[in-house]
Amino acid sequence: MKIKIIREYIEGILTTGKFFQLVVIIFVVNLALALILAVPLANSFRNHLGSSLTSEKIVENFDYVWWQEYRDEAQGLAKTVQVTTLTPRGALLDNLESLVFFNQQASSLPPVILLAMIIYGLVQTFLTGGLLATYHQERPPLKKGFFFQQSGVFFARLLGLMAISWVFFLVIYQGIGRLFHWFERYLGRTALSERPAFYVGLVTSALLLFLIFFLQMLFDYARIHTVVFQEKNILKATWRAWKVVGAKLGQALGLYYLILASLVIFTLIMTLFREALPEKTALMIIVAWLLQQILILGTIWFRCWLYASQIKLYQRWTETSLPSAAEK
Amino acid sequence: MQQRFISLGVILIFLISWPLLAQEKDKVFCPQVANYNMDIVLNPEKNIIEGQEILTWTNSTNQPTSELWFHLYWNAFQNNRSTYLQEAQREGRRLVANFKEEDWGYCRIESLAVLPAGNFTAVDLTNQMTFRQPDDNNPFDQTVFSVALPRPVNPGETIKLEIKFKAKVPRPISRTGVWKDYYFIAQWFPKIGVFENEGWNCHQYHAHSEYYADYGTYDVKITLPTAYIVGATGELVSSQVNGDGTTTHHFHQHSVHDFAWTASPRFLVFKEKFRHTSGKETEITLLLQPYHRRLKERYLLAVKNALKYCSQWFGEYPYSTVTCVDPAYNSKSGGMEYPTLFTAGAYFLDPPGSQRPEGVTIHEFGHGYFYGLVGTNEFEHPWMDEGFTSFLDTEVYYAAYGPPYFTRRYFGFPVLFPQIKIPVEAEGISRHRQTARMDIMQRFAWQFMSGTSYGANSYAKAELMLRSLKRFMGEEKFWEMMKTYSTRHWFKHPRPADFLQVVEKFAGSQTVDILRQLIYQEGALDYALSSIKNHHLPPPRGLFDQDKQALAEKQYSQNNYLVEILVRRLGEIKVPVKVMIEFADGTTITENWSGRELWHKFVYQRPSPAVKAAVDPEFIWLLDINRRNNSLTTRPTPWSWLKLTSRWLFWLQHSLEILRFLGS
Repeated sequence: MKIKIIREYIEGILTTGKFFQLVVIIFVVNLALALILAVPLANSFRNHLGSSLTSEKIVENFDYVWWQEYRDEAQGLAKTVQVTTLTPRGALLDNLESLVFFNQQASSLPPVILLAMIIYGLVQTFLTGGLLATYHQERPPLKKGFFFQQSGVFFARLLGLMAISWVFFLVIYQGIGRLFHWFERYLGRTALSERPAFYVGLVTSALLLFLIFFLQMLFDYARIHTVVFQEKNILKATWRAWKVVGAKLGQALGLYYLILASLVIFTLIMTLFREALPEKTALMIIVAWLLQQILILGTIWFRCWLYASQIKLYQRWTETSLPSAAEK
Repeated sequence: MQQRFISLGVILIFLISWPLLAQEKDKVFCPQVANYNMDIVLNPEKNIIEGQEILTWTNSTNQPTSELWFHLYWNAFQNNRSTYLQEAQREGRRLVANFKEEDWGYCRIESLAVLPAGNFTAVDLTNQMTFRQPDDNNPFDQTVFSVALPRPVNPGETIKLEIKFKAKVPRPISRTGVWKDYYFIAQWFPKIGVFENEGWNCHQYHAHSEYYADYGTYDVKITLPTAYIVGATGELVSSQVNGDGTTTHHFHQHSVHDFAWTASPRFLVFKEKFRHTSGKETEITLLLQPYHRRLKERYLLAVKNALKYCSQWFGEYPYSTVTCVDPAYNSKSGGMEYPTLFTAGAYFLDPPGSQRPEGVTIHEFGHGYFYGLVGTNEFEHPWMDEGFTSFLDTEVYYAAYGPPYFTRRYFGFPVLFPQIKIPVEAEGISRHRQTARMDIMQRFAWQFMSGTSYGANSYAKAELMLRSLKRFMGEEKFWEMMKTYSTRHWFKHPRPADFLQVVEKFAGSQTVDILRQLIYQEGALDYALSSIKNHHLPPPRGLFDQDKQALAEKQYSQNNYLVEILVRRLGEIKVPVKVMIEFADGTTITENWSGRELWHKFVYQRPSPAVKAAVDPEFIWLLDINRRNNSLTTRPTPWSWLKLTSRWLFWLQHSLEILRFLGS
């Protein structure tokens, strides 16, 4: 079994490498959307700093006194400028925490950020159809507009799957998550030491994270089934995919968490490298920016890798190969 | 033979010096105005403290008094109509929302009688007691009572009272109460107010006020089950096992103005000695929760650092003991000060460099000076203890440990950000900025607009004021002044004027004027470097006197730039500031500006243009609410905002990608 997973693990890398332009397309979407929001924020920074000598200090180091001043006056988007969001490890940890406690943290995010997240989710849902079709059929994605054409074909169905998945995510966040949170708070209020609440919090967070990824994995296969079998009924696609995954749950989980573990290792190495970079000159600021973009590109690549490997695994399970089962 | 003489000599010296040594040991530090001799029993089944106190009180003023006023602080917790709880409720603090019937606390006087002593004869005054509400006339508040005397206590005269009381320990509230088997007992006994020449100073218990009392000797016997480990104000004289499963712990301390104690069967007890430069020793007792065992050394080191620096800066710690209590989780008793005993607080994973438990340990120990030794009225001048102590704790922390790191908890783990050190200039300014125009600093504790304003003014603004003063005066003179203020007012009740008097002696009346603005005046401190204008001078043209023509041409050949620097005072507070101007040729000029006018222009004719200028370039006035408008450059770098944007961009890009895991 292990060897089989390793085969899909490697095949996934090769497939994403073969169609690397798709990773770049997703990255460009990510960067473009982020830049749209970054422009007003850059203006806010520029206006706040004006021609003050504080600018020189900021180039040299993180100026905590300036940051306090900025935070105290912040409105809207600027409220997201925290010490943590301005430091690599903080940004990563903030986002991981947001993933686990999305229901608690979403309300504190400025509406414009939430809107950007929704738009990004929709665009990615659109692109996923083309991505899966390309990985499945291994056809040149940009030739005759195949990629975008397939994106269009599957968009509505994948959107439907996203909506269904959100019902489950809602159960995780508002049901299980709230229950965990209540239990943790109850322990926090009644225990003799802070340790029980800490350990319970740790375990419940890990459980929540596991459930979120597990659900995402299940819906990944539903999306794959929809594209591979060109299934029009998304409920049927979900049911069939889950039946297949249920029968091979060990392999599915093994592959999923192997790639996620690779992503964690990659992120850690890149973050340590990024934090070691002395960002004190114009050149180093540019280098740091490039390094950050590589990290983002890498993260996107891992997401594509997940799809590519899972599609290979699903093909093996269902004994489907090129061309798609429906075309056969 | 010679040896025998030496031995006899040693014995003789010992016999002669022993009474002197013993006398020295018992020597009090100040007049003992309010002395308490208490014998109390804790019943942990019912959470009741019962006992009696013998109060020996001396009228230390020039006025006679025909009544005595007392605090009964725990009556603030007997129902939700007390002034304390109503004020808390108005701020949205639901302190008693989950209180059951057995959770309320109180302190009831069972009898109060004058004992025969001096010119007083025995008389029962229990029926003479009247609850008083001097601050708000709230009829439900029973935190203060007075009792009429059969005859006045004259200046210098002493009266002795026997008070029997019963106190119900509340569920944890306002840093006192019981949580499971952990007791923290503070403000728990009938306590006499302070009689001053102006009359009785005995305020009700407020949500945002602390305490005020006279110095005296506390001799307290506490009886409770033997399993309990007890810590209290002062020295443990003895622990007597009673044979009925209880033990009586006897504590004694002179020259203090309060007595607090704690008991728990779970405490780990650690003792260490701290030797002062004078050779005197102070015994440190650490009462630690078992789950904080790994923090033992850090707690002890923090107390030692506090002892070391406070003794150096504010006078040698005079008491022979200090007890640091690591409070039980959920006990709500952390971060509070009492004479020779304080509570700190920590999270079991706090990493070194995160300011916990060191910061709070130093702060609460520091109150041993500004509250304990310098007995300011915390009701009426809250900044004089909280502000001074906030200043003290920051100074000690930075001197002992350097700047702390920014820390944030993720999933319960404190994560340290080694790239982000919090500079001393950042301490307090954010809180002050938000309330700079909200209140004046000198207000009675409960009269601030809000809890935020009380905190910002009493803690942050006063801390910033003192740190600015330190930078303005220079370190050496400042510390000399602080030591003088501190030691001069040990065991006294100084008011703001007393502090200003010492400032005047060391820094002059101009500095006092500045402090008066900061203490009594509303408004903010904000200076701005408004503009740098460089005009290229044209060659001299027109009609000049013959000698002036040559002068103008000479001047033009040397200095062909007309430079104008505009500085402005945007705030209401006026302080003298320096203005630094840097020119393109590398030369720098530093000017002094009184800072009194709304603006001032510095004009120069120079060979090169000005490229940078800053008002208050050394950042002396830390109270300046807008730091970035203090400087300008003609060559601003875009890399600052690009760097910040780039970092934020990464967070956003990553967040978009991570949250994509939710469904796409």
